[in-house]
Amino acid sequence: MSKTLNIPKFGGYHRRLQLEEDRELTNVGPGTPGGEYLRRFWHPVALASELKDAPLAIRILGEDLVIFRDQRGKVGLLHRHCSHRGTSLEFGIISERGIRCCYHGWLYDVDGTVLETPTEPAGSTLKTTLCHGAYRTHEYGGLVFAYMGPPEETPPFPVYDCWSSYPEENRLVPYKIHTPCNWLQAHENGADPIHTAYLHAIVSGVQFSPSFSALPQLEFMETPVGLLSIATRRWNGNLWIRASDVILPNAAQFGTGFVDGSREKFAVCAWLSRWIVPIDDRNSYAIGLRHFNKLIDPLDEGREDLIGLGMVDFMGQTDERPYPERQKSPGDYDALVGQRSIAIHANEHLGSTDRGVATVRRQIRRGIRAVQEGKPLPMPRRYAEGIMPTYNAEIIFAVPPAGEDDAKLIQAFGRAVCEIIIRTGDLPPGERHRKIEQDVRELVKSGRLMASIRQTA
Amino acid sequence: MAEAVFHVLDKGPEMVAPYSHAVEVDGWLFVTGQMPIAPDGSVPEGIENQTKVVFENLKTVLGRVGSNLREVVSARVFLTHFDAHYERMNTVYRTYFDAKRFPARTCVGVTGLARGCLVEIDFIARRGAGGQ
Repeated sequence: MSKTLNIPKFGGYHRRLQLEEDRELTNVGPGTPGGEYLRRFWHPVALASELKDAPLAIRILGEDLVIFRDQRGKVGLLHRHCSHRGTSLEFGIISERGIRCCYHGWLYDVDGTVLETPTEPAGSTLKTTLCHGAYRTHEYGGLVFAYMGPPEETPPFPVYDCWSSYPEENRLVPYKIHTPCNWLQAHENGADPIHTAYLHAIVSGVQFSPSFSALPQLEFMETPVGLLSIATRRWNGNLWIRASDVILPNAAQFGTGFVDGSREKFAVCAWLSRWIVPIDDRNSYAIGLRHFNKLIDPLDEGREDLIGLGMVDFMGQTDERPYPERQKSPGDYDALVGQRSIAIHANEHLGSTDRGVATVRRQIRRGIRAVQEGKPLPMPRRYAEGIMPTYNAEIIFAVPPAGEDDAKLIQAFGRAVCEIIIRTGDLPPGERHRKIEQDVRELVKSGRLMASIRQTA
Repeated sequence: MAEAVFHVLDKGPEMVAPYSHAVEVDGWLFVTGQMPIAPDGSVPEGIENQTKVVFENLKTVLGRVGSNLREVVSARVFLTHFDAHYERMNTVYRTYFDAKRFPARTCVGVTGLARGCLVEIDFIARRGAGGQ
């Protein structure tokens, strides 16, 4: 901890900042504790639309790689440098099967098998003595995901319920944006719901919808996949719950940015699923799937034409505004990159609204140490085959104000509704959503909320 | 030789330097490079939105001097992030012209533009070049 207690006014001289980041949590390269942990999960690494007729050089988790789609349509993700003499395979020639190094013609299959070493004499067994570094990939929703951990521990690819099971007519549109800072601080933003009131409404003007300017009551609840970060606000006669999934290790889901707090809404689904994927210690990608369906966005306010490589249809995620504009109305990008290229936790002073951030760090550290000790990951607890329940929700419902106890009522409503959402995770999607709506209506009608507040008063 | 006419528009796109909005000689219109500064003084986020505002400003200038996009014979496009924005700018750019009548064009990457903008476009137009 930095010693800031006894610093006098104008005492900058005495406040010496810590210079070192929390390496365990933030460093991602091969062999680092955090890097080993992150390598136990599937991560999106590219847009499927980026894989055209040329290989793409990418860096993920501090490793230089090349990704391509061969002429059979199979995606290869290989160590970038040829096993023969190290030439970059970004200059390789995509083949019917795999990729051929430009320098001496070695041919690699997408699993790393050396298929040909044409400069060797006939009968040479050189190619059977090695396998080039390769990783498994999986395509979903226009994204290419990769698993970069030990192949024998490959987990099933988790398909979230809100991607296609509920609502059934949901459509996914992928995007990818480079963010020049460490992955963790960008990911933590999802567990910091109070910033949606300050950064996006109160401090620098309304950036999304005016409803965000109402100060929320916060609640953080563990779920089988991580954390539910809950902000509940009063908007006239309604209470609006914005419950965001913060999914281990680096995923999150969010509701819409254009919410109108005056219309009833029961959307236990997402407007955005997003991963913060480390490029290296000081750079990351925000890679996401924007959801298009009538339940989460009833007024059809999404802009598909503004979603893709380097762009997404909500403000402040890039540096593509003039600097003076960013200073007047900074976005997430400015707040997050502005925490230094790697945020240094030892210089922070966490307060009462930072419980979500602290919980995310604790959960991740627990996972890192489990991997180090060779134990099974404590969370997520549901990474089974098939559809994975998620908990993201946007619920707006009429609940009359409770006078001076209203803050308590708002918080109790958020907690009670999210308990229902978490408890019903095992039900089939349609049934689950009917049950949630029914239980919430019943909860408000029964007067149990008011009773629980009076008990705690 | 005809004398040049220097068009400075009342309430035209914001002027950020000493120039005329357009200069006309012998039916040729040289239109000053326009920035993505909207009428309310704001600059939108993203190369697509900025390209749209640039075109709206260029259309305003052309319209106010009695010309239009069909009379544009040459364009120059300046981008601060050429690799990242070239294709994205083109997807917007091509919607403003008849596909059989794209102006001659030069597009270059530059190190900086006024007010931190991502794109600037200027035109040369010729009166009567638009045909019917």
